[in-house]
Amino acid sequence: MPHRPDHRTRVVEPALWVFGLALLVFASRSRLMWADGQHSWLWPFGLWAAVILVGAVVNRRTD
Amino acid sequence: MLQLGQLFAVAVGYLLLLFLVAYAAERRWVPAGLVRHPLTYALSLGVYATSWSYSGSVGYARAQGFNFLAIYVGVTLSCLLVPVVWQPVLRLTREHQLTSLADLFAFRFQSHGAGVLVTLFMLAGNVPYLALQIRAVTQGVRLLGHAPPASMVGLVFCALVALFALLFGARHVTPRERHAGLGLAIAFESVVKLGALLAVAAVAVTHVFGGAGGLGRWLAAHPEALEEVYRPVREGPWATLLLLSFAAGFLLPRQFHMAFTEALGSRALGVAAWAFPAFLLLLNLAVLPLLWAGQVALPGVHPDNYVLGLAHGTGVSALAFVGAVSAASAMVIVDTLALAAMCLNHLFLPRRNLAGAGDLYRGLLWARRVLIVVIIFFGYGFSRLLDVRAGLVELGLISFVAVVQVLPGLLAVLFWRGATRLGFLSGLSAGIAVWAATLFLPLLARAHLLPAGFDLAHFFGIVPGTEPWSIATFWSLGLNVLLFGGVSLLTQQSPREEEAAGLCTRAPRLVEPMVVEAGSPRDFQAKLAPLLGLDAATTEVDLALADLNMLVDERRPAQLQKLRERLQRNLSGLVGPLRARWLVDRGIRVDPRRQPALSERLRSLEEQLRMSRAQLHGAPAELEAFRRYLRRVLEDLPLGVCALGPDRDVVIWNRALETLSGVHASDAVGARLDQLEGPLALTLRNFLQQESPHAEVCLTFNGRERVLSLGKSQEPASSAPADLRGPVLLVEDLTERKALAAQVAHQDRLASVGRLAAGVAHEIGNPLTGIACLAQNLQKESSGEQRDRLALILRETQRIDTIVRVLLGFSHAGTIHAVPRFERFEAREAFGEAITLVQLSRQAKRVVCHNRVASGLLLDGDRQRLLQVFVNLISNACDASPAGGDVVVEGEALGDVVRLRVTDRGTGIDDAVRERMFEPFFTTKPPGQGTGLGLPLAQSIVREHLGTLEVESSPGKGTTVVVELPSRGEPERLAGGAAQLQAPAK
Repeated sequence: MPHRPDHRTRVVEPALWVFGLALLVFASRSRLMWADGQHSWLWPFGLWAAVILVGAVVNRRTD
Repeated sequence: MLQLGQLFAVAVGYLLLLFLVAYAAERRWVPAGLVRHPLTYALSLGVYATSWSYSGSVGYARAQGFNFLAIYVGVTLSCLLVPVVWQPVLRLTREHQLTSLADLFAFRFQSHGAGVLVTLFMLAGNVPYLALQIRAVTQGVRLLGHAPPASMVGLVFCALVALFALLFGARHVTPRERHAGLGLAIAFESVVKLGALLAVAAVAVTHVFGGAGGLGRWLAAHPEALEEVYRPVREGPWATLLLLSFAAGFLLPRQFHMAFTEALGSRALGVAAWAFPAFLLLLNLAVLPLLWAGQVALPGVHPDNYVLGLAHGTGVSALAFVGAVSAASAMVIVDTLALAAMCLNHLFLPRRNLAGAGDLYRGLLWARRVLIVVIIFFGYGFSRLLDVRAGLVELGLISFVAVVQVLPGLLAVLFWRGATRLGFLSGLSAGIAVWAATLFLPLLARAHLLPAGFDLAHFFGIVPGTEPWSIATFWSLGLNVLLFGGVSLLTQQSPREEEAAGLCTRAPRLVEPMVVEAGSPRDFQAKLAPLLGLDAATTEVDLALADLNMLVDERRPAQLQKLRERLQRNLSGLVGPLRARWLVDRGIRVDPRRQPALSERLRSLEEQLRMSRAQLHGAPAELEAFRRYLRRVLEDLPLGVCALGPDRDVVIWNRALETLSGVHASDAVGARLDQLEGPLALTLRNFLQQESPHAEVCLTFNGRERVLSLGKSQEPASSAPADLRGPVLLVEDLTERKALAAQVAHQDRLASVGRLAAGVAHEIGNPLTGIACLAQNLQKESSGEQRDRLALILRETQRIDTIVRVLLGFSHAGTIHAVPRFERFEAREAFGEAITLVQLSRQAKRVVCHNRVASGLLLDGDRQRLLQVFVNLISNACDASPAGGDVVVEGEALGDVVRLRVTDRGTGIDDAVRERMFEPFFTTKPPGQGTGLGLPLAQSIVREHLGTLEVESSPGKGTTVVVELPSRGEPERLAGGAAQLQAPAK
């Protein structure tokens, strides 16, 4: 019988991965890439929306 | 320009609309599906967006560019960790009925001081935030209308908001009942402020730039505008703001209250994890367009006022004002409710005598309401004293830096079992001290509430005119974490802290069994009454009983322990976790000298083994597997097993005993034997008193008589520990075996009769032969009347011979040792013989038997055994018939089946007798006249022949017994069927 991953594996780890990705985009020095002043003012909102969307998809899959 | 009266009407009208929305939800005029929808819950978390978001973000964007977005992106990061952080907090608040952040820390660290410190700190940290909202409303009125006295506007606003909070936020005293109206109203406010802000932005962009295209062209012509908003992200306190908003997203009192205390559940939280950030994203789309429009159209106006300023004189000015009122009121309402709950549990209640408070629930509700009013008007007072130069964002960030101080504690609650109370208090105190020195005291000093010397920020490197947030956060949080970690590692937890730490981190824990000093739930009420008041004690115990689905006459120690725990949890929601624990510890004590019953210790040990099974390896794992195997063997035994502890508490009550007694193991285990009900339990109690280790009893239960064999173990050797000594009772159901033995005895008796009959027949046969021969000889020599008389003598001797032969043949069939002999015979002839036999008795002679079985109807089977059946059925029919009555025997072939019917016009059989008539030993005849075995035997013989025997009867209308037998059954098949029925069970 296939082993069903425990709660930590199924739910917690994907959330931590997405959190890490979001930190990389927003909290790390990589923000210098999108905050260089050359992008449209909507660019940060687009990144923000993408992070929300990825989080929602991962959350739904682990439900 | 809107007149003051118009503004007042708009504000009051909007707040009345809010009242209506909340009232509609409370009265269920709004569908429950909408009130309890996850999106409604997600929108209610939009209370995060206050006047700061509505007006202050534009000002902050002016000063700090895109850094304004960090306040909301940080919340998004926090929402990504909903499964890791928010869900466990929700579980804890639900399980232990914790209504606030202060409750959570007091519970985890088992410290009244922790609750007080967090409460006072949250008050100090959030009152500026409250003041900010009130100030934003007064500023809005001043901007849009005339300049009325700010005190009047603020007072009216506070009064209306306080009324709303009292009516819809303080209706229930326990967290078990959510405030449906509050949730829907706050969600409604989120929609209003979002709509208002987007509408103002759309109007402003249209009026100032001529539309989105115009904005684009303006930005192209002014590239420095984009650079101005992007540069602070590269150079400013972006990371600090992310951290502050990460914590604020769920730790601000209003966020904690809506996210956890008023939560709908885990699924709704999952939806809010993306819906709440999406709401914030939409809200903030309006900020930069408003900023640029304001810079163009309102050059001399403070950016915090751009929103209302740009709406002024347009068709959306009233809407803009409503949005501002909405943003402010939501925050004030929810924050006040949250702070009032903390103050009630940690500042007010600890000193109160709850029993002397009269109606406890009413008292708590009114205390909460008074606190709500006090807090709101304290915020109003603070707003009057504030330095008018303090910006909205500045005041908000002071609260954010305050709230982030509890983040280390919150993470420790969830993930660090080793954190100690002293560590938490030390860290938090240090964080508070630095926060006060760098932010709060300077604010008070600038408002001239303190002497200028209290501005200690320069000690931490904060230079006037610079952003203090990063430095203040660094020093306060840094010292907090350092002291928290260091002191925790150097100090020890108390046992209570350890227990609470295990509960919070979901570590597998063993609930040590304990003996409660109360014998029943009514004892609980009596013991709690002096502490809570009789009414409250009764209500709380009844509530806990209902939660656990427990009966009021429960006596088992394990269940009473559960009741105690449940009571404590319910009281936690009412008076806070520590007060609840104090009440239960004081009122319903545990006797440390008494050892729990063996059954409870065994249950606890098995629970521990079950929890730690995955960690067992080697010999312990094998022992555990072997223990489970032995347990299963005991459970599956066909013998009833009842093992008792030294206190006569039931330790084992296996499945066979459940079936016999009708008492389920879950009701029996843990109870004392003398507490169990039912005839079997009574019998076991009596048996236990006897000296003899064996007994056989006859019991009637479930309407059936049963023969039981009882046995009990001898007391174990004295080498066994005293607390593990206890008798083991065994119960065996002998009913079927007794019936079988009786059947065998009956067969033996019949066999004896058969042997006797053979002798009698032989003795009768000899003289009979002589008589027949003499009569024959005389007949040859006689004539006329004498010859006729001799012929009669001959016929009568033949008749005697027939009777003797039939009797001899019938008695030979009553032996179980006879091998069934299958043959084909005529049914009519067999029934004729049966009628002859039956009518030997005087009773049967008074009844006329009619043999209407069709000639030539053949049967396959053991003739003698079937004759036994026919005799039994005809005999019963004759017994039931009145004198002169008729018994009719019929038979016909129907396809593959021969149907035989024996019908009488006797008294009939009622349903109660008909249900039992095939039970061994059941008889309606007086003692000595019936064995109660005839019909069971008959049914057994018919089944051997793969047939059926049915009875059709109703009282007063006679009885028909219908026997159906296969008509062309091959003897071999029939023999096989009979052999199967007769083979002993393996």
